[in-house]
Amino acid sequence: MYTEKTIRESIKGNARAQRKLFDAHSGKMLTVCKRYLKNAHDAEDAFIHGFNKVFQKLDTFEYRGKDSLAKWITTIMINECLMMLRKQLRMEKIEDIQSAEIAVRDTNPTDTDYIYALILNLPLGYRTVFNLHAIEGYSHKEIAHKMGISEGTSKSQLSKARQLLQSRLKDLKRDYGT
Amino acid sequence: MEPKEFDKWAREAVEQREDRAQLEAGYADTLWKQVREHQPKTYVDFWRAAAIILLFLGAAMAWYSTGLHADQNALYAQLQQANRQLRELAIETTEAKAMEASPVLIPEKEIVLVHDTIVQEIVKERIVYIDQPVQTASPTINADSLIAIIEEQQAALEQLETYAQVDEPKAYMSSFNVVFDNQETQTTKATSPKKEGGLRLNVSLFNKK
Repeated sequence: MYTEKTIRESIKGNARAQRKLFDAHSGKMLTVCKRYLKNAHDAEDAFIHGFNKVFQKLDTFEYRGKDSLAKWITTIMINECLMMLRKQLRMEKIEDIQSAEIAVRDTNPTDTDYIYALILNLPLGYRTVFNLHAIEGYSHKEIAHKMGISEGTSKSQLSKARQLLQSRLKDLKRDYGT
Repeated sequence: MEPKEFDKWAREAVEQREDRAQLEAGYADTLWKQVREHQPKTYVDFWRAAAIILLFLGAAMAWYSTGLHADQNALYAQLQQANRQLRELAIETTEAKAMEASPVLIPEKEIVLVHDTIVQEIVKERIVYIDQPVQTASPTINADSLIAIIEEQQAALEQLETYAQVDEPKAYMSSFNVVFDNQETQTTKATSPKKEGGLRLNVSLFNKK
């Protein structure tokens, strides 16, 4: 846990205060990066650059209630992930999904475990658009601007992502008997 | 499931999962170190930098005092021996011992540090009797003996200065004027003239006739 004083000290460059902020948000933020980038090394790179930007720009942060800092940091992390993705983004064919591994816990998997693993295993384009729209709440116009695609492509990718997720979810539930 | 309903469900599931995500301690430390390494220098920990500088200074002083250079070791040993002899001369009477208990401090303006460790040694050794009369019962102690010791120290110090290639400011002891007092107590004084930026040394010996 941290206080407003921790944020103020972090802005001044106090290493201990910055570490407190880091510890409070690092678990979630690395998971966010992995949700976008999947590859562990890429996710770590984006995470590290993201936190550097967090500390550089912390003096511009405006407190707007509980969780406002977490949301602000998440936005920075997503932007880092998208920058990395712009270098490697390619629209994979739907057929590629069939061979993707699904990592699901063996013991009593819940729907949240299923859906999380399925999102991670979406093709890159589907995953990015689904993450930005369904999870983060960006509009298709905003997604198009961020990813350098058309709004139509964004909508199409989202629709395909939903279809694939629901289809795979149904299959998994059937396979695991839940 | 309707698309928006599905999105909402997926979002809640993801948030649940991510809100409880924690890094293992070791892994968190590793990532934190990488974050710090990539930070701009403006975020350098002041105290860490100060600690590193102090360590370096301490190592440098230890290097000088222990002497990695054999020649410096020998010269410094010579200087220390000369200091000890001078101090032994002074500590022969109760008065000297009393002065030792309450040392006189040299005014700061007269102290010019060339080589911190060595000069501090000199200053420490001489604090007891600078500008203070020292009585000794020994009739054999005279100005010549005293001057010889001081000159020996001076030579050693000058050699050290050359060896250490120290720039200004410099501390030194130059030639002495010896004054003999013909009163009841023969006063032997050895005084170095005060030169600009120099360390003045006054030592007096009172010999009873």
